[in-house]
Amino acid sequence: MRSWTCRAVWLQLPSLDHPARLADPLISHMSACLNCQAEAARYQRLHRSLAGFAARVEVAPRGLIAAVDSRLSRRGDPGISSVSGPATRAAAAAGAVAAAAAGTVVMVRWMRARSAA
Amino acid sequence: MYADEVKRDDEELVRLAREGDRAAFSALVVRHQNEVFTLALRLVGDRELAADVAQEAFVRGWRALPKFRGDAQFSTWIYRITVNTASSLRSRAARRRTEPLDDFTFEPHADGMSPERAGEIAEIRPHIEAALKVLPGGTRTVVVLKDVYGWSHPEIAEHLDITVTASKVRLHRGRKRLRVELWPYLKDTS
Repeated sequence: MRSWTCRAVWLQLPSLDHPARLADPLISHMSACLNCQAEAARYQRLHRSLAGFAARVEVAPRGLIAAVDSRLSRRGDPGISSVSGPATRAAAAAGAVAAAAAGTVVMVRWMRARSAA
Repeated sequence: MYADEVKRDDEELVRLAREGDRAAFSALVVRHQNEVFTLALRLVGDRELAADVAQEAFVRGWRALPKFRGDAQFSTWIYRITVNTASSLRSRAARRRTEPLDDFTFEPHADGMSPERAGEIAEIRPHIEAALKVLPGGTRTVVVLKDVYGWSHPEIAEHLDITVTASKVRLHRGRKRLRVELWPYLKDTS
């Protein structure tokens, strides 16, 4: 059965980025309470796991660049177009190659200019 | 430093794009599409909608470029546009069209962490992704921005147009809910 102090700790833990930020009396309680230590450890593991997500990057769908390029090319933007629709898929390869090539040209041009400077 | 090089390259590309150079903007899209898509995916919890959010964010970014003062990095700026876009598109999600996803490729990878930590995260990741989807949209957004991307409460409040207190309340609720949803996977601590 948890004490009133345990409940106070458990109530505060979700708001804290680290259990060391608990108020002093609760810190002293936690140093002697295995239940509260276990609960704090669960939140720490949750924090570590969520923070670890930041380093994970998903690969964007192939048609994204072509879809953006296509919308910027059109007068009167018709709104979001599916990046997975058949028409876009057909245009995606050509669009992506064109966008990547254009980007490469810009980068090469700029790098040459920088090395010449 | 690699980060400094990237920042300088972005600055040059932004300068060209602001002058109307679409190829330079395409280069920026190529450079940042994965990170923008990843952020969108975490905010909306749906790959197709995330692709729409990323697309719309870049289009809005292109239109807003004249207002970009360069006092933040381009990546930070486009992430903020992505957060706002995710917020507005999520509310339209019920009306969005459904298209097949057969031609999508997703190749997640992990960088910059120890093998032990990567292992721990790999083990719990699918469960966290599932648990995040259970959270209400506004709560999930705060948890993702605070606990995954390290935004402060004032930053979150400003971009979601909520108070700092509301941001803190959503975080508290979100973490409590995640703790309940993930109970079996959080037991084994080290």
